[in-house]
Amino acid sequence: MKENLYKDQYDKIDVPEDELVRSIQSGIDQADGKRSFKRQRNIKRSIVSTAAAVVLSATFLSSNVSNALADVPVIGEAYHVFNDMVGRNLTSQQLVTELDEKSSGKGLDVMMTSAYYDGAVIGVSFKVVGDVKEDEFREVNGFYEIYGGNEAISDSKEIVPLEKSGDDYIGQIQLAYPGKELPANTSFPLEFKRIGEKEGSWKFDVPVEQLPYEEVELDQVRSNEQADVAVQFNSIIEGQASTAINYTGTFPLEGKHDQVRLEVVDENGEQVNVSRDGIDLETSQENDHIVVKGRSIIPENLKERTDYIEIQPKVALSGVEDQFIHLSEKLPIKIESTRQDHVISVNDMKVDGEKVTLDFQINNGRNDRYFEFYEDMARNEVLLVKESRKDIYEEPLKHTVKVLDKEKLSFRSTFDVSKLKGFNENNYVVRVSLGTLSSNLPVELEPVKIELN
Amino acid sequence: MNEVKLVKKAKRGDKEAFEQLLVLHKDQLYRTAFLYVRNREDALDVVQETAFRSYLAITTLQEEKFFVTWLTKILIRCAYDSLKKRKNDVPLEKVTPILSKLDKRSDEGMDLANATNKLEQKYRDVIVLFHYHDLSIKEVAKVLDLPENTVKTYLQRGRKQLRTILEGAHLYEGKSL
Repeated sequence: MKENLYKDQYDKIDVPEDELVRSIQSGIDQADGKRSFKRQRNIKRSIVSTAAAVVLSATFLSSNVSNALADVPVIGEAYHVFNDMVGRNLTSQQLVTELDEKSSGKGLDVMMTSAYYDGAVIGVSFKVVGDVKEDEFREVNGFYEIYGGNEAISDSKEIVPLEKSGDDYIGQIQLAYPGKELPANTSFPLEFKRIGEKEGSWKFDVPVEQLPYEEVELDQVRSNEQADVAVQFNSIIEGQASTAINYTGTFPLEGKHDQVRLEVVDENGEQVNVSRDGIDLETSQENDHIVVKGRSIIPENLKERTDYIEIQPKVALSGVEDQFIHLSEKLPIKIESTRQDHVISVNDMKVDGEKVTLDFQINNGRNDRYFEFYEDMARNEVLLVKESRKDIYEEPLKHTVKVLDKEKLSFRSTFDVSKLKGFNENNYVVRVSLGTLSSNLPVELEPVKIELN
Repeated sequence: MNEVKLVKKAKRGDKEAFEQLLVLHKDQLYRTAFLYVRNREDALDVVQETAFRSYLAITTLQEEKFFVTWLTKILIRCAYDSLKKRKNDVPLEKVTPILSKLDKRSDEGMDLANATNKLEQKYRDVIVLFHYHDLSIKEVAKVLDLPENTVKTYLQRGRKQLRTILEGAHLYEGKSL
């Protein structure tokens, strides 16, 4: 038997069984749709197909070639190609509206082909016909703005990939409706400013009509005193193929960019995919706190899957200032974050004319993440810097990082100072940046259970 | 029903047989995709794209017994396409949230996925096929269109690199796994 050094670890990679089977099925369905379509085509088409099949057999694959097998747009095709779960589901329920809106320029016709508006999620599919110029990677992207590129709206300026479909290109955009209240019928302004390598302006005001939905009021609050944050769950919007969770986050002024992230599991403890998290709908200041109305989107209707969901709210803290250690400081020293239990303890420091050596430990060895995350922290967030330039993020001094104890998250960084002009203990400091720990290891609040039925 | 029979049926256009085949190998497909793309959503996308492309191309498969080899080759190509797309599309500020969404339960897998990802591409493909997919040197050579001796060399070097990355060179110097 062949020796197998790493198979054990490989087998430990968690497999999401159900979702995986669904992915396989929809990949096949998608291909099958194209194939049966191909069979209905006339002779001319079958010649093209044979040519395509030859290429396929030579290279085994190319999505452009496989997409070329079906060149007539079918409603909802783009949702399949780009794996828009909401759009796909609504297409199968025939709840997607066909559109026929066109904007032309620079030798390109851009056409909105379909749209949906489910709960708080809006999606459109479009087609580009004409002389599209590919980029250097032989791919085509479009750059668009919605709502005039309003900075206050999440993802209002985005790049969208296009895929070849026959002679044309197709694409899909999904957005979360950016208002607190959801109007029944609305339209949203959309402008393409670049398609492929061509800049221009292709404008639309896309009409959408909301599908029936249910809104369940909630009033549950979770908070953390040390971090001075609270998340109040306000309501849950159950659409036909999507679920939206509305909440209000309260943060201190220094944490105005704090971010709410939700992790959701179903009644079996299976993870529920949150596709868009932390959509800010409205920000205001009340006394000494920032209040953010936010929303997260789950791209499925959960009722058939589960009776309740459990939401684990997390808040990634912002505004975490760098801290500095003088080389002559008495050791050991702990650099702590005020709103969270993140700590870097510097236990030993040696300075000579050649090098500065620092021994330090991250979070007292508390291991919430894979090891390489801490290794990266050790390399990038504990640095020797010139005091007069300590707030400037320059390329770090050359240094090596040695793992002293993997279990305890202890590291030794050695900085080469032999080539630094005028180095002395007084004009250099150690900069410790706890911000990366905060944004990657958020404050975890108590879970909230929400009944769906 | 044995696998070769299923492959034959699939080649004749039997959709159910094709689905059965993929479900049979689903764990391996997902885990390998995860090694490359390192997150659950992208790994699922890669599997879906693999299902899509392989279903369209199944009639071109010459020898039934090489089905898994052939499928793996498609999967790897899809994984690279996904990585390439991500490189082009994902703005930097979105990378951190993606990392934060990783399931804790996948952390053990993450170590390996991260380490595998740090290997040079040529070593990575050889390691993945030989160790995780249990292909023979000969089969690996066939999938990657490389001479067998080159596969052996890559395997040796890749293993050395992977060992260094996985266990930390400093602590485990001289210790053989």
